[in-house]
Amino acid sequence: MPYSAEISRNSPTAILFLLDQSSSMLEPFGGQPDKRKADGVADALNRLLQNLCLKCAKADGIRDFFHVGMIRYGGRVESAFSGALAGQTLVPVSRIANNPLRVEMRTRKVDDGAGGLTDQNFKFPVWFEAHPTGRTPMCEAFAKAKEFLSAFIGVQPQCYPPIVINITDGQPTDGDPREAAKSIRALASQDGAVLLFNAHISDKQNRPIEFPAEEGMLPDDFARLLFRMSSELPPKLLDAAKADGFAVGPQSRGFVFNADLVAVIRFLDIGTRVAQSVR
Amino acid sequence: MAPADPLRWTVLTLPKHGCSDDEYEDAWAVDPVRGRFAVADGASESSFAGRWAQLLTEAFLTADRSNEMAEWLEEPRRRWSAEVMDLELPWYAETKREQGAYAALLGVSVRRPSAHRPGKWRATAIGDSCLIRVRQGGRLQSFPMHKSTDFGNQPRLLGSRGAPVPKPDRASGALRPGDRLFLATDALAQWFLHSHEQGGRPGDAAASVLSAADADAAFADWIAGLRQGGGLRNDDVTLLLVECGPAAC
Repeated sequence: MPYSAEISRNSPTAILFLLDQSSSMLEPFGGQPDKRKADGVADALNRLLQNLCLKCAKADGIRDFFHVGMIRYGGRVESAFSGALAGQTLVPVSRIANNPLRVEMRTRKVDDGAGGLTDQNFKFPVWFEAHPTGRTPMCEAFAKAKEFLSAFIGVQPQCYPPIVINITDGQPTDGDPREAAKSIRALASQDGAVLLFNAHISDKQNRPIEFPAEEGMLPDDFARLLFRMSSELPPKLLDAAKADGFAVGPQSRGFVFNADLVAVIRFLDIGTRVAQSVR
Repeated sequence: MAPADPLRWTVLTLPKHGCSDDEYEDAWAVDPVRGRFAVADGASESSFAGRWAQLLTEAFLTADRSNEMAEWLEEPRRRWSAEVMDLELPWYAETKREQGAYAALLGVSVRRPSAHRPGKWRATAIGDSCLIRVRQGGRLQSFPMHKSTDFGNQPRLLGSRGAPVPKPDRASGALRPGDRLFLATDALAQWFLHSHEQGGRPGDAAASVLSAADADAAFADWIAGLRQGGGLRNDDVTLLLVECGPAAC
């Protein structure tokens, strides 16, 4: 059965983030109008990386269940790593965890146990900062992703299929990306085809949409384009999404509108279990 | 009157395939004189989970009223915090520590049968570590999971930090001479029930491994075989057998 390979240190899989950093991303983000879409992408990515690291973290360090890459496209297509990881393609998740650009101290409101709220400090690592510029070569970014993942599957042919997470406003300038997307989804390990998921960061203020099964509810052509390019969630991810409270059906796709894909990191089974309250 | 002989027990453990012994995050504890036995399964996505599992099993053994979890949970929580909260850790380990450790727990109290009164077991559980009682002839009773399909990826777990105490599942039953009580963490418990559902005699298979001359090696071989082709999920494995055989009871 596809999508059943174990994700382990002996058999890691890859997660590759594609980050739209074109000049259209300077526009405001629909969900939070005081924020640029490019910053929405950066936030989404930093949260995804943080969750990925935490998923693999133990008291004694990070277990390399995943190799992680990030490609930015805005003007040029290039590795989005900077600092100690500058220029890298796919690196073990332990290197990500141990090499953020900086760790910020942030504050959030939490239940004080007496019916009120209190401030709680928490550490927020930052790996990526937004620098939007130029046009949107999404097709070229997909081609680069295919190159990275072909090499990875060559080394790990039995791995759980790698996952590509594309975070964008869905306005490519180098042609119709559907063929390039199809070509990524045609890549496969012995356990199944590469999964392509899309997070649409839009300037529209519509409510977030998560893992839709059909495109009728989507607000515009950009969202529909990204939906069509997105892989259906494999059965085990669907089950995890259901258990997590998402209203998903058999044809639900790895697509979100004005929402993040952090939940997908939770859905990945690395042979561990976690209490429902751990988030 | 002299105290009764302690119950006979055996335990065998293995880490997940691909992990080292010090990455094993199940735990077990026994007090055969008092007739208390416990296994726990640290949730490996949490941090310091193996230590939390160990503290839970020990707390069950020493509690005045072991079935009253809400009474005795505070002490292992306090000890867990005392051991880990002051450690200097990188950002990710610190964040995981803030979330607390989680574990499934099964605790069993056993009263031996005697000439004057029947034997009895009482069990308390949070999560999916199971007590499986196998009677001579192969009849089987399982708690808190009853079927192999009852196991999921998000069992109820006990948290080390502040989370409310979930209401434990409880059960009790008679214990007859010749009964075997297996306490197993989830992967092996699930295999055990599945094997029984398919008409197998998992109790006999497990007991023969546990009584082998080199039980550790026999257990490692048996588990490796089950992981490769016998439908056993790759997970930490703990199997504790409490016997109430004619010789022991």
